[in-house]
Amino acid sequence: MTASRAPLLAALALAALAGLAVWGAWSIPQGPGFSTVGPRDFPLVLSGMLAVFAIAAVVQALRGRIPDEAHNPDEPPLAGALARMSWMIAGMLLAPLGLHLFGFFAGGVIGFATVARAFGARNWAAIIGWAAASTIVVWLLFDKVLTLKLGNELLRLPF
Amino acid sequence: MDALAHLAQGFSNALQPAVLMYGFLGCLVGTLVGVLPGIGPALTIALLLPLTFKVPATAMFVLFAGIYYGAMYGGSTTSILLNTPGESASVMTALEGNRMARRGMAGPALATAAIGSFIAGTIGTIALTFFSPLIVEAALLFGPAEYFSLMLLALVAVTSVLGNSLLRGLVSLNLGLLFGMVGVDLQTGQHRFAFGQAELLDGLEVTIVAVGLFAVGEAMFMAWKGHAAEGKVEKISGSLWLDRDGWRRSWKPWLRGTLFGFPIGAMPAGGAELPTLLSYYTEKKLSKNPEEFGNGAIEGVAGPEAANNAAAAGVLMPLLTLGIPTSATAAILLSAFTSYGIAPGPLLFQQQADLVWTLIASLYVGNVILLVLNLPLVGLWVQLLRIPAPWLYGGIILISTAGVYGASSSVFDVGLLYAFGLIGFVMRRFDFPVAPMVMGLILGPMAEQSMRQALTISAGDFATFATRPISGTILAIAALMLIVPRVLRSRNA
Repeated sequence: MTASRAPLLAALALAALAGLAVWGAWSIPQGPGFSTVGPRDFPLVLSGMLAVFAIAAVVQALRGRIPDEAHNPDEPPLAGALARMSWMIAGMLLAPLGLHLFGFFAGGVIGFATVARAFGARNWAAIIGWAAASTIVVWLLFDKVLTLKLGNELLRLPF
Repeated sequence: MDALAHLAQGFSNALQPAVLMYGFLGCLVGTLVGVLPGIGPALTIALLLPLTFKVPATAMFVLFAGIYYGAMYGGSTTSILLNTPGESASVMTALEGNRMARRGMAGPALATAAIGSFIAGTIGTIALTFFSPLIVEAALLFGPAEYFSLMLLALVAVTSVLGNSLLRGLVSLNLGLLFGMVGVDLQTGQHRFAFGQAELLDGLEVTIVAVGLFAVGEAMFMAWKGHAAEGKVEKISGSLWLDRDGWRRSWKPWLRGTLFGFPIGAMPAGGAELPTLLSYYTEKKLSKNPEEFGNGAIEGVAGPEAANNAAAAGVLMPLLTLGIPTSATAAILLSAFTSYGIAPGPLLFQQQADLVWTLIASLYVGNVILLVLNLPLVGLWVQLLRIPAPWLYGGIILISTAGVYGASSSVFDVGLLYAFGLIGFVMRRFDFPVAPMVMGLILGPMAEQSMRQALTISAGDFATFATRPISGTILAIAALMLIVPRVLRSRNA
């Protein structure tokens, strides 16, 4: 991505979010009109303000006034940032899927392993070993000691 | 001396073995998360919020207090040995302390940071003990209009002080406020921003947003940068205590740092960043050898570290007496109070006197525990810094996921967690401050309720916010805070 395009894309995404917020606020029913400020007013004002800020951000981005860490002169990202981010994103898509289908163990191992890979671990045996051990420890700690609900069985079948 | 009697009662509660154990555990966990780069007290307390169903309030808040103070101590260790400030308030410590460590003076740097933190934390807690009742008396006169104005002031302050750009601060705040609106409106039952998702009707959980922004966002950012494995941990060199010269050069910066830290931390504008900067530049100015600054001057560690910890005590004052958080961590503590059905504010000191004074007493106890824990165990903390980055960040993601999933057993929430992680990453990459978003999320709904209550009282007259003297004054301060720094800056430019 070139110097000027990434901040602009972020600003445009913000503008899209602002548009969604305005639409969402607009569709809140105002309800019975006995009070000065109803359930819609705060969201409407806030989303309107966000829209204004978003436009200002787009203008700033066009003028190159929004900094991008990708071009930080002191400490730019190392080469391979895209590959590392792909591992992170893949983990964040696959871990919830594993969690949903096979329970906490699967989700935990996928999450841990993809992040470890993104941080430069190469040896898959070590990655899986650490991921499995950590997931079991965390499961014991959260589910058994702290009695949060991670699912009674570590692994389960999807049917 | 009503405060002293209450405090004595607080101590007798805080020194109960069970409560003391929670305090000790909090200090330990706090130091741990303070030492580890990338995670801090706000995120840790957010992760522990789901436990509020299982642990009694007093024990939980003693635990949180230990984490809060402990993270301040731990943060300085990382700054000195790794040159990675865990938070903006430790930047100055990293600057001087790491230079000291490279010159073979890591021991004295760690010692002056720990002892200074102890002294500042204790003085700050004393100030908290005696000033809080005074503020409570004043605050009992506040109505919804005053509260709305105060919240506005806190939000403006956080946005205007933090970060490099007002616009990006406002964007972050505004998004946070909007996230706070998601769910069922309390007064009318209307659905807002739920987009047909039943999971969103209860609103966005503070835990999910805070852990997503702080932990997942930071992990993504660090992965993207790819420098995580490069940090060089300095050896602990030199005696882990201060020699006569060290004491002589440290004690004045400690006291001056405390004087900067507590009042500024206690102001709604507060935070810990500004006092550490002020302390650093004051010490540099007063020093007989200003050329030492930048090459490892002990005063440059002593002062900012004291300021940092005194500010941490200061931040608790508006939180406990007014229910107004002035930092991201305080905002999350506020939501912990709310999940116990306790509303911080002036009434807290009357209705929950036991809780408040046990909490304050445990801050004194925590400071002692931390002083004892920090220096002798510093070897252990250093080992933590040697955990390879893949396992460290893998573990952070795992614990974040477990914390969120364990609270609700909802895969939707885990997806939401990662989505906020992505938002946190984008914000870091393009230099949007994260703290205003968390503050907005928590203060937004409160501010809206106060505003609607105030307008109900005034029969719909918006002038009530400006014409009530206290409320009007607070609003004027908020307006000045937005305008004055910009005017000054443009003049200097």
